[in-house]
Amino acid sequence: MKSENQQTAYQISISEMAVSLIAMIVGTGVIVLPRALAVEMNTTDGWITVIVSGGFVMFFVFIITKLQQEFPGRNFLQFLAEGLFGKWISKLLAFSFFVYFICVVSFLSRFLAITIDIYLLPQTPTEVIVMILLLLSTYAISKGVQGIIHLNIMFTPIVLSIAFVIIIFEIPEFDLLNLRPIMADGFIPLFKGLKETMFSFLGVEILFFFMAYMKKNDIRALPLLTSIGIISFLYFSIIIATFAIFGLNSTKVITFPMIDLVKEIDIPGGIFERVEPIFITIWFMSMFNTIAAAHFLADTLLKKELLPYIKGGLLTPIAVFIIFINTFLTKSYTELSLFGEWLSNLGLINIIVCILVVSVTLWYRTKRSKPSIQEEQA
Amino acid sequence: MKKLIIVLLCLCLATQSGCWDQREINQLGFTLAVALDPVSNEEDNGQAEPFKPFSSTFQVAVPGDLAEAADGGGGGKPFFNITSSDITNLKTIRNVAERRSRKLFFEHLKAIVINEELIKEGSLEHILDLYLRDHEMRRRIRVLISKDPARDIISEKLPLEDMPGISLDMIREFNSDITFAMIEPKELGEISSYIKGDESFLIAGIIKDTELKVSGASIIKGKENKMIGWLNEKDVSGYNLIVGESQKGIVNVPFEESGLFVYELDRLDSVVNYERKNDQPHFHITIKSEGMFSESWIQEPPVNDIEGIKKLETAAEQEIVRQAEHILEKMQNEYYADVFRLWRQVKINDNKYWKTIEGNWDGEDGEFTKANITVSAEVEIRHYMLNEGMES
Repeated sequence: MKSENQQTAYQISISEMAVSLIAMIVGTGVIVLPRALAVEMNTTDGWITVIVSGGFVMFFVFIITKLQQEFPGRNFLQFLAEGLFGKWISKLLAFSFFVYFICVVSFLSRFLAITIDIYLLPQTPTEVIVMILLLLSTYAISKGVQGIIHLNIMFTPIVLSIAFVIIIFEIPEFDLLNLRPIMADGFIPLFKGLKETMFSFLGVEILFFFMAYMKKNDIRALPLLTSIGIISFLYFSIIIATFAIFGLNSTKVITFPMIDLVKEIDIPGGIFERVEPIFITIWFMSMFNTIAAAHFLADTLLKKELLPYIKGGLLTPIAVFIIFINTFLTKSYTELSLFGEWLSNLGLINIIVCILVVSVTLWYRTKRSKPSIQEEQA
Repeated sequence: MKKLIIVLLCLCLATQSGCWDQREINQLGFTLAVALDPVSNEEDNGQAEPFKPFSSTFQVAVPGDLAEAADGGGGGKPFFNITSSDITNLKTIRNVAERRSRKLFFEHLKAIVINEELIKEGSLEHILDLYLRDHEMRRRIRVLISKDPARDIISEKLPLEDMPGISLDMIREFNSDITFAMIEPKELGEISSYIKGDESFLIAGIIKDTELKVSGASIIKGKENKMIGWLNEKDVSGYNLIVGESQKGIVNVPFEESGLFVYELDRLDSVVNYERKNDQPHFHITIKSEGMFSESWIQEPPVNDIEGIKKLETAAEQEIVRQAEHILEKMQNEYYADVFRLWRQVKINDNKYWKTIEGNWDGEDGEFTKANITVSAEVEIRHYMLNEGMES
């Protein structure tokens, strides 16, 4: 009970929130985005698309912050649940998000397991890797929001700096002729790539939930927009580096372009001949952040929104079990990619529906019963 | 009691984990070079007619002897070569596992030497596929083509060096910059880009006369990824000039009737201008270089007056243009393969036109053959060390 009180007392500061946003968004996108774009667009203009969709995402984040300012201290589900009709919508959305987060954890675990199996631990059974991973993240979420946020703050700077250092190491290898001609096929490829790049920004939905733990006057958009800017720049650099080094045709067939980029690094002196195990370990941190945050949200949704009347510690293990089974439903990397695509669609729909529903409710309530809302806030 | 259990569990974590993937360093056979050769006696293998077996020779480091060799003593070679053959690469590698105590370990592989016979018949793409696909392999592995049996090449130990595999890598690292006679050995990663892009390209050749020598290059035709010809050292120097690869090469320039001097380049840069006239691609290649007058076989080299230097420069320009045109002529009319990547200029500057001719660039009646290519050179001789003219 005591820890419960501490949790509610803990409030996320805006800078912590900004770092967490980076931690949540940086995940598989870093590793596979260039190839997805190369296949989808068939040009090397992916970097333009990333900038454009970065702008879109900033717009989303701005709206989410504005909405959240209307009901500080609660998340949108609690806000919706206050209405009679909203209660059911709230339940529905909670369920949709629950499914989404469970699947995100499964997807990321499976992805991580595959890469670790290839590059780091070929003999270790995948099940064991996933098991340990899920145990770790269960432990992380048992400490509540504070634990998750602090993990993010701990890992994100390392991940970001290593990623940029790697790209700086690559600069001598750049062949910028590979990036030309720019926009030779006009705008149509840019639109084709837009979906892929939007997917790589998924993770902003945590704002819906985590901003409930913030003070009202702390909820500001600018730091969050900066985070999106940093991520856009990271993606931008990775895409430029991949295309400049491998060219379009080679990028199309490299499954994990970022890891191959790391393989290209040749640190003089011959002491470190292989950097990619180090990189994968660092990247593991970023993946773990994402997994832990999604796991935490799935767990909280299940406990607080979906089945609040079941007491005791039974729900967490059940959720973990569902995740574990779900992780191994996808049989191969190809299936996993397809699963990832469905998942991203679901995520995008969730975000858009949420923004719409919340704005409509907000508009409706301010219009219908202004006095009652003021009463509530008092 | 509860605490004891927790402590025990923690102990288990510390002691029991990590054993699945342990690979003791003294149980691995570090492979440093691979040589691929055709198998001569084909009657051995009756089955699977379309797939001919080929032999792979793996050069494995012997760490103990390597340390001894570094100390100056030691009788044994610091490496041994082991040959095996099958119709696929991985099977060959596994065949070795059946015969040797140590597992071959490829993370430090430096060079792959391929016998030209192999890629004249079979596709380079398939031969190198395993080395591109497998995560153990580096993208920086050097690939070389040999005329002689490749396994002889990797058994040759260079003086001063311990490991043939590593010295192959060192030849390119230190020397490809100062000579025009060899092209920089391509990395596996680059080769994969060329293959995926259906481009034609050159791979550095390695020959063994009395000694090992990286020299010449083999021409790989795009799409089929087969070798279609061999360039000698003279051809290669023209190629290097056109793509501006070896920054510090030297050119022997004939001067007037019987003179000869060496022009040593200090900087080299080539600029390709593309234009389309009458539905035909026109390229103009400008080879810009600056360097010095390094060796004279001329009676009285005219280095002390501006007119004289101009003469020398013109002679050098003519020689450079001659070499470049020679190789261009050869590639356009003999091999029909654009190894200079001129097509990139078309793609960048004239994308719509490129879309229409994309599939038909190389080849006997491809657009590259019809292209009109002119070369000009700009030479600037910066200094000449001995100023003979001053005395007279």
